[in-house]
Amino acid sequence: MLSVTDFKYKTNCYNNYNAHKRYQHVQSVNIPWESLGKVKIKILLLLAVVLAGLLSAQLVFATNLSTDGQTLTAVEQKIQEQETKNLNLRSKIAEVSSLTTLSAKAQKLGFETPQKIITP
Amino acid sequence: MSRLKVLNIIIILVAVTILARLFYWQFLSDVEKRAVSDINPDEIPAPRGEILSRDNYPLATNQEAYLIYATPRIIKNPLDVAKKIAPLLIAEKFSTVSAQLDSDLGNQKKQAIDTEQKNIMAKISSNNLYWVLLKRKITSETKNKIAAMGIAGLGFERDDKRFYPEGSMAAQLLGFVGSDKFGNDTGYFGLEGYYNRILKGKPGHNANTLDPKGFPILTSKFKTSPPQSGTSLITTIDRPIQFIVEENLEKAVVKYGAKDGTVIILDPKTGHIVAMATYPSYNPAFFQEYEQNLYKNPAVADTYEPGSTFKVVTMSSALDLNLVTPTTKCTVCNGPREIGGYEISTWNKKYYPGSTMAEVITHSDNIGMTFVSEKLGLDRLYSYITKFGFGSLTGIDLEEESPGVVRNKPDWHEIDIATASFGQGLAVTPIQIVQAVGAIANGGRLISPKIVSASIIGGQVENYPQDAGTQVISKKAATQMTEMMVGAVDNGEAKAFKPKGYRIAGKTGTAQVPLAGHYDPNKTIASFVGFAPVQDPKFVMLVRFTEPTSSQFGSETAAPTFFAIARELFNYYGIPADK
Repeated sequence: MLSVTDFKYKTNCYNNYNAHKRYQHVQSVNIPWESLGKVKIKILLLLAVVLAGLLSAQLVFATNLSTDGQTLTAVEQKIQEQETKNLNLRSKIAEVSSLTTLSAKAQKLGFETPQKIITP
Repeated sequence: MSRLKVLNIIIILVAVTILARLFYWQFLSDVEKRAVSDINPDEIPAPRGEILSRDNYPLATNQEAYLIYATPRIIKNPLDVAKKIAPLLIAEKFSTVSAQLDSDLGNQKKQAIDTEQKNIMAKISSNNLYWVLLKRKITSETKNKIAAMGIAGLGFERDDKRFYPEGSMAAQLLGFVGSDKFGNDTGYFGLEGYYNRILKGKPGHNANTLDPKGFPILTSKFKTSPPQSGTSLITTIDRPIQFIVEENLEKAVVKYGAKDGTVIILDPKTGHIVAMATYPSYNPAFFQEYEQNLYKNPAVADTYEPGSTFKVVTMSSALDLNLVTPTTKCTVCNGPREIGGYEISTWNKKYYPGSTMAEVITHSDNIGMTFVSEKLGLDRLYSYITKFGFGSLTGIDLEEESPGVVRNKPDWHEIDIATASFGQGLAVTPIQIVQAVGAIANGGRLISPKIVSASIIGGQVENYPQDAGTQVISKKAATQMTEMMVGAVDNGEAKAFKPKGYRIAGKTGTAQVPLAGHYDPNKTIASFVGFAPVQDPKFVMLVRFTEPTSSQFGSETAAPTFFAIARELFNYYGIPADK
């Protein structure tokens, strides 16, 4: 990090005529000009830090969001996989418990259709 | 080195890195290829609703399936690819165990493979094409087999298909799912067709931006509407009864050498259809492999002259108006009659002078019915025919229902009144006859038959309102008619087949098939309609055969089938004998 003093307001500004006039005016109201410069630098620094912080935060959020898209897709794929499994199991259960299948199995096992009317 | 220079170097390095990365994404990476992804298609298909039996068993459900496509410009050796995948893309019927044992099917399979191979070659040989559809609705097993071959230039997309766990059971009632002109799944015939709008659901949409790898960019517009699943239907079909009916019907059609056969079973108290079967049938999952004339449901779409089964409608009307009683004697039953220049005789040329109305029904006496029709006259007979629902739709929730044919009243002549009384000169559908006899079974109330009793939308069951019905004849007339029908079963031609100890009301019918202005003496439609047990009817059943060859008569074909099914229904319902 560069030293803050590199950016300090130096005396060369006094060479400027307008600046000199302003200096005279400042002197007339007795404001400590040097200390005021330090405050401005601090505000600038603070703003820079806040800006940097916001940029970093945005970067972090953007990075997270970009990976969230991937996570979301992965979750959606998992949901789809589970739904497919559910669908397949449901159709398989329906197939093996269908009367057509059960009747064929019963016949193979030697069961017969009752010929007499059996009532309670 | 001053600190400013260090800073400059760092900035330049970062800028060069970014530029290098951008160059990579723009020119070197294969994002274009990867971007073709099925992760996020624009339209998210909605699962089609199921069709469930009364016990919530799926009669029609969905099965995982895929669409296979090719990118011809990537395929290097089209002939090799076609040879490899053609045996896997032929019709599913060739992959069954029975198909492997059948030599005829084996030859057909070879031909089918050759044809498929040619089709695939034609599609993938053109290098100008980027995307070519090879086959829709292939099973996940087939997809896995093809994917395992690792052929470059082939891809898959989810394309679920309809699955009917019971195979051909209730096929004409269920209908099938095919494609419309845009390639979207659409229901045709039966329940699939009638309820297609609510079964198909509403597809969802993805309106979000995707990154090159196909993942959604959540910082951009992310707007996804989820698909709305189709509504599932709970039908009134009783699966075991449907199975019993189909088994018996198939045996009977074969035994009697009939062209086809239809059975309808209805709960007279609610108007719910318990079973509806037609043989020959088809498997709705492979509907393309059957003749199109099998698709329509004869139970609601076929019109035919009802013959003697219609006598119960004429007689009920006369009983309701107190024009006759069961003991009223026929004064014209001593021989053939001439009406409007036509001679009318009985079916067996036997005559019973002075027979009562109950005996007229027992003997299925055409002359006796002309006696009744004369008492009714055109206005009253016509009024009752329409009140019983003939000539208009029953309102059953199935596609392709026909209203039958009842001519306008001004077109009726003297002979038409006489012939209509015994079921000639008008055309009805099997469901209309069942509905009319259902009214007699439940004390004179005509109820619109229905197949769907409830629907399931988003897990919530919504019951459909039941038709209250319309009183078409008095309870007294219905009871008198019932007793006359019991007499017809106990003393009629089919009494030998009746299960002993049960009171069953029924009526046979044998109608000749009209052909070019006359009746073909060798072609008949044999039927039997009835209900049981009489004291508290559980079912109304119609059995109908088209052109049976072993015997032309309903009493020798349809009636034995009716009683065979009734016997099993008594067992199923646990109905004890009356005496």
